[in-house]
Amino acid sequence: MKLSVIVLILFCTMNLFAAESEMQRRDHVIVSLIADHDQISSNQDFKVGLKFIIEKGWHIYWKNPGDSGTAPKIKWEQSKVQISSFSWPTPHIFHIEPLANYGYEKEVIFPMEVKFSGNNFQLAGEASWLVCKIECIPGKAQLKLTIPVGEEEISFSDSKEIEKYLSLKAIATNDIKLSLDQDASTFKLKFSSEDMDLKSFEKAYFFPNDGTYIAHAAPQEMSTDKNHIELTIKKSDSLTENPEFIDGVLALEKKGEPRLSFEVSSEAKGAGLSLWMALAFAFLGGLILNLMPCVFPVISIKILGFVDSSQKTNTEISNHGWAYTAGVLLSFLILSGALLILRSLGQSLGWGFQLQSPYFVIFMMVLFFLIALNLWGVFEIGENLAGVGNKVSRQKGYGGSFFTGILATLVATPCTAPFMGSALGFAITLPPIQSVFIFLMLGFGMAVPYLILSYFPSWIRKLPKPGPWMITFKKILAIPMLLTVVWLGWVLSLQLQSPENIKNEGAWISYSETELQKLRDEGAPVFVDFTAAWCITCQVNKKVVLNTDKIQLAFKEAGVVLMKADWTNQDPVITKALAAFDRNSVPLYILYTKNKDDKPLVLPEILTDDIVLNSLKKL
Amino acid sequence: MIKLSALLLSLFMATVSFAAKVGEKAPDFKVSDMNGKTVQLADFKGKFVVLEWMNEGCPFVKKHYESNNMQKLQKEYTGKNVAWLTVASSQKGKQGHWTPEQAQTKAKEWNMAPTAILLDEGAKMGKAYGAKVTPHMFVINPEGVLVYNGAIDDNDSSDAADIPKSTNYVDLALKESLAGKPVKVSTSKPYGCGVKF
Repeated sequence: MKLSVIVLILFCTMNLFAAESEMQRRDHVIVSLIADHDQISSNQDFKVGLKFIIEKGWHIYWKNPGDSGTAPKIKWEQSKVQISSFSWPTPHIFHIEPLANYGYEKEVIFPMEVKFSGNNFQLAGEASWLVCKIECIPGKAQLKLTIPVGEEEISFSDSKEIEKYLSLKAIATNDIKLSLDQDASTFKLKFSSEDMDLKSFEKAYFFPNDGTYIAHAAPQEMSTDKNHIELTIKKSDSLTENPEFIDGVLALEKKGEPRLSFEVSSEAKGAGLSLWMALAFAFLGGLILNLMPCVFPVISIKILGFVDSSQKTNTEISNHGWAYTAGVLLSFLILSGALLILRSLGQSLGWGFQLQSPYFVIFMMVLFFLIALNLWGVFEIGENLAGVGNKVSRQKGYGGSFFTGILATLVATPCTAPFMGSALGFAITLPPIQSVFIFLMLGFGMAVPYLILSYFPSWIRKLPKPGPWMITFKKILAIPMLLTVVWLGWVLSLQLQSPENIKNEGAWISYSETELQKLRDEGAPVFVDFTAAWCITCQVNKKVVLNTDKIQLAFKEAGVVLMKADWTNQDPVITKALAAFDRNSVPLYILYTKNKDDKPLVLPEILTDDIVLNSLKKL
Repeated sequence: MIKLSALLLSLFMATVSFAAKVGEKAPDFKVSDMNGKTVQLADFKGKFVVLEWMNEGCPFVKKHYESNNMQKLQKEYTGKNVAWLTVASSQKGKQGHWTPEQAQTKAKEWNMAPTAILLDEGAKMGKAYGAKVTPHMFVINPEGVLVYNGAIDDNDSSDAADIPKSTNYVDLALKESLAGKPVKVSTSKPYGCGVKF
């Protein structure tokens, strides 16, 4: 009698002070919602967790449950609270011959991140799960969590519990590289690391994110040497196509130490694209760059320079070619170096990042404006600025050519995206020296047509002789310069606007990871447009395809939610999202289908009506 | 260019045949039905055949039977000259194992309407097809080639209320097949309880 009173009091007080939903007992599990705070302030981020206490011998499932079973879910009631999807602790394997499952026994918590602002915090939702021993029993529970909002935040002892399970989630790392090799019946996964002594681990197991790839119950044969672990895994019988890549969690164990786990992903192309091939593609990409609209204004400066060169000696001309090349290479070196250094410092930056800075944009605007005025003949700066003008002194002209190279690179980098997007994404994952070489090769490709011209000046001499026509020509060339200034000004205006003003543009909602996850959980197809004001390809796609009535109507009819990930200004969230697709530049177009387990469709960088309409058919 | 190398890579890899792969001959079987009659794949030459793995205790099977979803499909397609075979591969002492009498009782209670209920004692048939869960569905065309292998629909919940919102892959595969069209979704990940071999 007394004991029950004490228990009752304890239970009541617990519920008074602890930010925890009522624990609900169902078949073989006790389920509740917990939070890492007892009191929160009116504007803060914190964590909640869906907690299961599981009866001995029974288990619930991971996101890929293995051969049978289903992952637990939670469906939130409409609320203003932004809440992430589960973070999944690394599972264990359960062999129930001849099948195998991935999941948890005894106890598990699925942590979630909450972004909260408001005066009262209430969370309500329905959790559903499947608990199995040999037999399976589905369960459901309505859970409610209320946390008082006050001046101060008070963290609660449950925070340790949530932290613990958060730490059981696989670590996202670039330190472990995965290369995939496969034949008709097996996958060979080769994990390698420069920093970790992989050989020292006694056990390794790979949990794939996609449940259709491997024969879950088959043993994963492990072999090690130096810094490598190789797992040979039998393919699933029902797998009909060789997947291009595989991703999942690698769990490593050694005696007497807690298990470690890492998020790993391979890309067949990563394995298939050798460094030499990457260099060759980079060179080709650089050549193509000369044809891009953003490079055009700079090329026009060059043309003038070469026309003028026809009065120079051969050596001088080839020296100009080298000066230009040096300018291009040096700026590629600096850009790629800066990118790598900033990245190693933890900054999320992508290619073309210099245009994400308003100061840089202003600088470029002024520069191009001056060049335009100069071409127009308003004043003559000659060699010191861009190597233009017909009074270029014979000795001092090399600086001008060098500077033209720098200028060409600075404006050209954002244009590399359409052709080089995935290759640059790949390059950035390589060891620093190799990736710098790839960027240099890209620059060399860009410079090479001029370098060749500078060695065959006879080709240049076929150009018309200098004369009064050059003045007219210069005036015409000022037009692309001024257009560039207008474009940069437009970029700048968008950068300086408050984010809200650009956020909601017609049918487009702005990108949010939690919103995307929520929509996908609800089974809504989502189209994400990774774009930036300074990305010309993006703007063309938008005008010509995406925002036309025809395509907008098609999106509407298909029930597709349109999401715009604006990368005009620096945004680590979007940089990370791009990286998830192995990109670090825009444009990128992703269509998520209704089934959230399906791989999202990646559309080409240059869109047409048909490409979009055909992709909608795959929903 | 990257895609190309991946393509070349996959072209180099010969495809070796496995049990019950879509596009290949479905494995033959010889099993007793609940009336003691021996049934084999060859009996249904010239017909579409549906194989449905079942375990009466599994909540996912209950989802489709207690909502009458499975019976409706069985009636509709046996009415269109499709052979529908419901297979119990659960072994003695395990959930879902049926003696002929138990199968007959349940068939009546649930108003089941397949062409036959097969009792896969020894689980040879289940293993030949690589049946993993209940329900796990297969569709075989009149030439004996497997055209569908996977889940019954696209919603892996155990809640019958989700059925109207789901796309039924078996229904789709049969509709397309009967209309002489290729099956669009020919494989999916089956969901449910593990088969109790």
